[in-house]
Amino acid sequence: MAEMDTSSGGGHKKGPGVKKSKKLSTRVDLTPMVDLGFLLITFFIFTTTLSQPTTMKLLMPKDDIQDKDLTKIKESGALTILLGKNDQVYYYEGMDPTKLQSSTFKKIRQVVLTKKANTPVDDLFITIKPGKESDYKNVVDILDEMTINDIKRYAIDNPNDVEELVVTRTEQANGIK
Amino acid sequence: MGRAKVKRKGTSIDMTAMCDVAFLLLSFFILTAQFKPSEAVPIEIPSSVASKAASLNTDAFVVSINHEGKAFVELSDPGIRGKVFDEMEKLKGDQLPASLRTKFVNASMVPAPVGSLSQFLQMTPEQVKKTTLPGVPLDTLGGELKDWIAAGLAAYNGNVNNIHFIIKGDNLAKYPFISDVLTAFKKNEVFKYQLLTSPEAVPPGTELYKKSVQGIKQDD
Repeated sequence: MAEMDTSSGGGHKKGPGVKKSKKLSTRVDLTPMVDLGFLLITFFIFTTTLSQPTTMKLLMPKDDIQDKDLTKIKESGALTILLGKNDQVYYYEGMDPTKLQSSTFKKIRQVVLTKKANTPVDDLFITIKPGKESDYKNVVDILDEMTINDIKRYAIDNPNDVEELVVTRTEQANGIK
Repeated sequence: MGRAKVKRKGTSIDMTAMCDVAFLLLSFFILTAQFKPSEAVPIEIPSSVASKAASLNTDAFVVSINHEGKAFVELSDPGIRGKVFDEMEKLKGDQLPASLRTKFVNASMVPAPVGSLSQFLQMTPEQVKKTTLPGVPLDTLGGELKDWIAAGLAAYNGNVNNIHFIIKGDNLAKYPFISDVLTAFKKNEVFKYQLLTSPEAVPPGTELYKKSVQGIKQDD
C-alpha cells in the first residue's frame, strides 16, 4: 500500500542482453502490521469500560414523624408517580387516585416538566410510590428523572390501598401481565 | 536537446516507526487495564446521571441485593470486619463460634444467615460458585440485616459519618426487597445512603444538561 511500483519501464534500461542481477530487498512492508495494531487498540478501547461506578445520594425520613414534622402539600402542586410492573408508570395530579393516567419512562419527563411549569416552585411536590412489582431499576430511573428535571421536593412512599387497586385495574384494562 | 529527466520519487514510507507506536500503545493499554474481579454474587447495577465517584474501598458498608432479592453484606476494611464479628458475637451469642473469626475476616462478604455461617465460610471459592448463597435474612422488620448494620455501626463507635452506607441493587430486584433494606437501615437510625449506579450521560436539552453546560455542579 505504502510502496508503489516505480520500476515500471526501467526493465530495459541496461539494454538487451545485459542480465539484470536480481536484488532481493530486505524491506518488509509493515503497513498491514500497523493496521492490525491500531485495529486492536481501537477494539480494546471500545470494549473496556473505563468508568468507575458512581453513587446517588438518598435520604429517607424517620418513621415516627410527629404531626408538626409532616410535610404540608398543596393539592394543586401534588404529583404522584406510581411504578407498576413491566416498567409501567402511572401518575395522577392532586389527591384523587382515580384520575390515574398511564405513562412510560420516556413520556414521564414531559409530564413532570409540564407540572413544574404550571406550578409555583414552592408548591410542587412529587411523591414516588413504587409498587410491589416494580424493579429497583425503575426506582433509580425515576429518582434520576428528579435530578434531571431539577425537582427540589420529592419523596418515596408506599402506595396506599386505593392506589394499588386503581393501578391493578388499569393494568388489567391495559392487558399488562 | 536532452530532455531533463524528472527523478521518480518512491512513495514508499517507512512504516516501522508507526508500527512501533501502534504496538507500544497496544501493550500500554493492555497492561494498564484493570480486570473486573469475578464476583461471587453477580449484580447488574442500574445507571444514573449521578457524577460522584463511589468510594468502595474505604470504610464502605455495602448491602448488595441480587436479582432474586437476596441480600449480602460486604465490608471493605478487614480490621473492621473483625470488630463487626465481635459485635455480632455479642448480639447473637453462641450462634457464632469464636473459631470462625479468622475465616470471617478473610471472607469479603456475609453470605448466609448467622446460624449457617460456619458452613458457608468453610467453602472454597469453587464450591461457592456451585452453590446458591442464601444471603442475609431480610423481612419487613429488617431481619438479620438490621443486626449486621447495628454491628457495623458499633464497630465504627456509632459514628454514622465515618461509614459509607452503599446500597448495591440489581436492576431486576423487586422494590419490596429494597424497601426491606431501607427499613433495616431506618431501625438503626441511619437515614443517609448511597445508591451504587453506573454513570450515564445527561440527556441533552434537560435542565440538568443546561446546568452542567453552565458549569454548575450537581450537589452530591
